[in-house]
Amino acid sequence: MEFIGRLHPLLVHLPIGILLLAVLFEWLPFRKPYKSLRRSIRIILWLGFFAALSAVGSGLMLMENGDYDLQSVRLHQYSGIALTVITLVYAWARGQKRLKKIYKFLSVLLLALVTTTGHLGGTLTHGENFLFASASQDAAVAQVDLQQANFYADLVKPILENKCYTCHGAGKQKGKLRLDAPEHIVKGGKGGVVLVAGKTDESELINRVLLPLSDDDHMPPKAKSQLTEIEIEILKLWIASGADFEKSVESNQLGALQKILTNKKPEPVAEIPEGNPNAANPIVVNELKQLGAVVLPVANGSHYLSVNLVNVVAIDSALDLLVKVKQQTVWLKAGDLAIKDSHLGKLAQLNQLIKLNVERTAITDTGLSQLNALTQLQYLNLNQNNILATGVKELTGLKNLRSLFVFGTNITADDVPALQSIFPNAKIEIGNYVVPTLETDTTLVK
Amino acid sequence: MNEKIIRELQRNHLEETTRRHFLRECIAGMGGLALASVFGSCNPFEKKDKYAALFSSNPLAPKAPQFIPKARSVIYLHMAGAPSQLELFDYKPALHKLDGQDCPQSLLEGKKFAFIRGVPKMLGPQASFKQYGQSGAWVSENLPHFSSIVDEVTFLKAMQTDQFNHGPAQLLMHTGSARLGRPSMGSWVTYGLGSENQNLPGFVVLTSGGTNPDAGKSVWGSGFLPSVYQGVQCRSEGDPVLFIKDPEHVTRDLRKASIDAINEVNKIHYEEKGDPEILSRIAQYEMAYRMQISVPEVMNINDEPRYIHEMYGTKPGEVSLANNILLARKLVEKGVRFVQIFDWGWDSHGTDSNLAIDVGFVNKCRTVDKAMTALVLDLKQRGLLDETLVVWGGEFGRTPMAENREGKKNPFKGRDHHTEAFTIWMAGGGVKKGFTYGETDEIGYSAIAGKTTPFDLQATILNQLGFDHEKLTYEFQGRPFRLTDVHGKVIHEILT
Repeated sequence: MEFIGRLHPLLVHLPIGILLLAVLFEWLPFRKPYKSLRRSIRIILWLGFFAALSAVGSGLMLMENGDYDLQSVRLHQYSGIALTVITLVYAWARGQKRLKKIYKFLSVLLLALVTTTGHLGGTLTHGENFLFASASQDAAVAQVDLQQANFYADLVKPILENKCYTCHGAGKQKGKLRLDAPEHIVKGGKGGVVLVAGKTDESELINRVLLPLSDDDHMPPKAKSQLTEIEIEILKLWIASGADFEKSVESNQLGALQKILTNKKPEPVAEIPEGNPNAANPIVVNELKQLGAVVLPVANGSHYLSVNLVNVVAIDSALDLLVKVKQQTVWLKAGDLAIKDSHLGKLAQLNQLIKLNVERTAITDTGLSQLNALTQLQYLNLNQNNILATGVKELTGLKNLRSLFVFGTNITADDVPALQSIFPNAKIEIGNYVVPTLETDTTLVK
Repeated sequence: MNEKIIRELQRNHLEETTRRHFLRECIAGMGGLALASVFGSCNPFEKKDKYAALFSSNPLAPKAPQFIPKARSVIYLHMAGAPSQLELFDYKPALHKLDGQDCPQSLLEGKKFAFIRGVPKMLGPQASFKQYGQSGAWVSENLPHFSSIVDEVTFLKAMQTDQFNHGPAQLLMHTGSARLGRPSMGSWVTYGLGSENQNLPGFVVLTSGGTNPDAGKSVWGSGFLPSVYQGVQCRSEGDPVLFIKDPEHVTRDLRKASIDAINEVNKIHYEEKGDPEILSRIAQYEMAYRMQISVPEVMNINDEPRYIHEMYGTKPGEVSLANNILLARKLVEKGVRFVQIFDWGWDSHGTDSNLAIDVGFVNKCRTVDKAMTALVLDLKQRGLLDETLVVWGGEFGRTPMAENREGKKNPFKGRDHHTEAFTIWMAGGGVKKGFTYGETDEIGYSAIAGKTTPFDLQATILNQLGFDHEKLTYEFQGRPFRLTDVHGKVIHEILT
């Protein structure tokens, strides 16, 4: 019995397919080549009738032992039965020449019923908002104003709504558990209480989530969309601090929440500007590649480019081409090249640059100030160039600089305080680390 | 005349094809089709489509990651044989007090060890420990240099594996399976990212310690991925890469012309057969030709300034772990994605003095300590540490008990293979600085919190390179495969 019931989700697809075919054939044969198809409509309808009958049968059995809300199932049930009856009528009518006029009407009715029944059934399994819900997960949490948020309503509820309601909501109550309202959450399910205020490790609500994915009791089930780390942490914090359904976020929770929200989000090496520019001209990109440059999107789907001039010899041509894609170029590696001060003018036009590597080149202090145009720059690597602190001090335009590398230049530790006052937010690396040679490094223990 | 012969041939062929032949071929064909769907990898039709993209370009062409990466390269230092966490990072004062006592039954029941039999004695830490840096990490006297950079490093102290023999454990660590046949981490990375510097391989392997790792070259093999993605083993002595030197009296032009001709023939062959390995071969010929110039250049550490040699403790011309570590920095600087270093000799069983925890092991530590410390600092000053993930560890840990091979006391102090807890450290590439994750019990026998597995480590490494380990897949034998197979969780706790 139970097994046949479980077959329902499989069996329902048969009548849908078969009956839609019948409807199609009813409307298709206006023109000659299709006319002969009409003869097959009757047999298709009979097939569809038996398929519908088995779907209804299995559906009724599923209803007996499934964890469904009977109210919501009713509509689906009646519509399914109506569909079966109409199919029977239609199949019989299709054999009666005198009823020719109502064929089309019956087919439209059938189409409407197939659609309705299918949709109602889909809603039962996938939840109410399945069709139109957008896939916003952590994004929703990130937009909440924590200062004014209600912990349950603004932070916890959206998580449960996204990840739990489908099976533990109004439509379906697996394990007799509903999570869609405070009173239901408190009540618990078949296995007892799921929430113990203040005690995360006794709350089944969290324990189930933390079980390994391979565990049969893990929630949400393996195939469904899982809770993110952030969501788990939010639920934990809520339960640990009393699982209150009314209170707003308290000031002592604020810090912890902010930590959860910021800590877990991977930050990029250096931030990429918001949005996505137009795609770079593929011809220019191709020409750059011909010159030996590596030109890649910073990530799949992004139009921002990361460029490495690793095997480029024709520096001038490469820079000319780069200027044409300056809107997209955010990372540039131009180290180990014969870049001279005269090249820096062109380089300075790449005003979207966030990361720039020009280590081991031929640039000097006199040319350096041209780089002031690179106002977006966050990372600048000037390692092993023949430059002085005076040259670097000219770079007052680089307000966003966060990392400055001047290892192997003529800049020493004494220059760092002065530089630091020009680049207050930057980490200045002068390197020259020494790993002393100890006696034990070269001797052996016997 | 010619035409006549051809026509005759065709007629002969048609005569041979009788009705029976036709039926037989139909059936075999149907069977073949069915099989093809089972063995996706053997299906020539599918391959042709899948590789069409590769064919038009180069299988090693640089590719963008799935999301914005933290790291561009990885240097993986594998101490083959498995160093003892109890003499390096996992300080257990409680173990001191138990030294020499019989191991309690509770630690032995239901457990299997590689060599320990009967009831072994406990072995206290064979090194003294101190806390270092602001993070207060414990480091033993065996690593005097490394103790100065603990604030750059994240320790994973509760690594666990399920393989207690070197070969399978190394395979698990690097290929995600204890059995042969799966692609290594570096191969997956090269498959996903290509090679940034077209004159160099994307995945380079350097070995030292006199022996290849126990698992053999499969730890850097490409498994079922096209073989162009396998690790290229470079040597720090003699020819860096074997078999790429021009034969005597063959000029570079002539070499180029012959490679072009061979590739032309190979392309025709590929169009007929659709075997992706032919593409690999074409790419390898071309890469080998480019590498003839660029590899000897980058593999030459003679030109490094003196202070660098002093920093790493390197001596040009010899095969040493330190030389390989310096090479790794040079390779990464030139755009190599994945450098895999294997150093053999860390298997401190206590069966002889070289494998004694208080003799040979201490000497092994001395070969790596200065160089690995220099590596982290050198990457840091070059601005490469942020984009290079350095990983250091073995394939498993060592027991808090002294090994008693065959039930008898070993001649030297040593520890057996241990799966339940070991330490790995990582630096750079977007992992936290001065951080420790995971904890073992008070004698270091078992991980008790923050447990991590080789799969988690692999997932984390791929994540830092801009890949969701669940989405970097390859269709093989009818299903998509990935490095972590069905396991692995990114260790978000250790990421910045």
